[in-house]
Amino acid sequence: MKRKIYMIIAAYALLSANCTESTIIDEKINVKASLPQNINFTKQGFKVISLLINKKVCTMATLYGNDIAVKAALSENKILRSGFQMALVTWQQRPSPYWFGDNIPDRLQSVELIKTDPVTDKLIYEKYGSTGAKIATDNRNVKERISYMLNIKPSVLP
Amino acid sequence: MSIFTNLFSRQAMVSTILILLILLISIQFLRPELAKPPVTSDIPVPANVKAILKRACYDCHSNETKLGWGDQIVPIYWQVARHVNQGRAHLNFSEWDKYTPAERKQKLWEAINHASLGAMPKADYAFVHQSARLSATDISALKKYLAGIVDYKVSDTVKLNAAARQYEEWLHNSRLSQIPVSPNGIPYDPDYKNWQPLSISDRFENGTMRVIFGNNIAVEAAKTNQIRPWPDGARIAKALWTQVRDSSGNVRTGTFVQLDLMIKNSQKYASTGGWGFARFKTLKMIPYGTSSMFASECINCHRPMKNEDYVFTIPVKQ
Repeated sequence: MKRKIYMIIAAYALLSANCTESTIIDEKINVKASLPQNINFTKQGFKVISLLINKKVCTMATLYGNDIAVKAALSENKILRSGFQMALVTWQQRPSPYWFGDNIPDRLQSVELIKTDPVTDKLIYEKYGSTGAKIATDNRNVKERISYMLNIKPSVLP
Repeated sequence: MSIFTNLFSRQAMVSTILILLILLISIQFLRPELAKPPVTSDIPVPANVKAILKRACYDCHSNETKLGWGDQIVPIYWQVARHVNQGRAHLNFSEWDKYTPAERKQKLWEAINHASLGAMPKADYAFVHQSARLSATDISALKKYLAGIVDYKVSDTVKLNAAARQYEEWLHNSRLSQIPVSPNGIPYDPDYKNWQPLSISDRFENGTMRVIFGNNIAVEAAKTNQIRPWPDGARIAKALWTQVRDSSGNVRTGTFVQLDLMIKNSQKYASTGGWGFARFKTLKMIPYGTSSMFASECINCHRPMKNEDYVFTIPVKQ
């Protein structure tokens, strides 16, 4: 009885304080998902072209490109002008700590880059791992990946 | 002399107590109305989930409110009545038929997420009403139920066609004749697509996917860890699409649904956590909300993230 009265009084004092208790751990930056320093998209003026998820292997990816690549992705005939640069960044997924029912990027898996060679104008494919180190790829795979990236349908960004 | 003082002070004390008592008794009649509307349609959920909701949520979020004797005493009653009236207005498990199927899902996920974030039940309410508290076991039972109602269907032709139609319309015929403005005065910002993404999200719970963009100020703030709080001038834009899913688990963006904007100005938007909120729907960027009051809906959902400056997104450094 006495306890309840004390609690009512204390609660009333709390009402005016309008306090909220937070049970969540503050995560400022998604460190594991962040891009390695040698790959700087801000400087290259890359823009988002598309967003992809693979539910089977639990990955999510963003397709980026410079203005030439954005234009190419939106055109029917996909003519690749010199200066073309496109990048596909793939992450593993993890549940958001703040919203049950939402997945966000986890560890960075790879960054795949295609660009036109400044001399020959042919397409070059490069793949980087989570640390920013270049990963060797065989030729057959390269063709497949280039074709895959070039055929990703852009997201509607009005 | 001292006898007189004693007498006087004792008398004063008695009369003060008496006055306070009379005051306390008389304010008992100042009772805001707490209606008892009928249960039109109780939320259909499994028995174990219902038991948790009834015990912890129903006093404020249903028409089956049960007040304890302590709740009946003014001024406690005032606070409890406010909780119940606000609670019912926001989410009422007894009038489940009044919501559309999409609203039902959205309300349920929001409710359980807010409980999981510790924002529900309200701290002051749970302090007195111990039964309203949710244990870790309760939360995991609620989450298990939610996980079971997620729709993992492969997208049908209706969805695919809608996405294809909108894509064509966007490419060939979607210039805005003028910049739409939200009811709180925030104009649509077409520059968002030139910003860097802060993160992406797979909101499988409602079948949408998002890119969360930040303007230069926001991206720089994230790079230098200066986001508690985010600096004035920071802008965050969330583009949202439906998910189009094929049989091998590949998901791409379907129809563009809306663009959500958050603009940081700690003075101008002090009443909504320092953020100006706006939402623009479809290719036409139709402003959401009928009056500037719509922003209270935004901040109410973001409030559990107060310590994170009201932002759910955990930025990825680009």
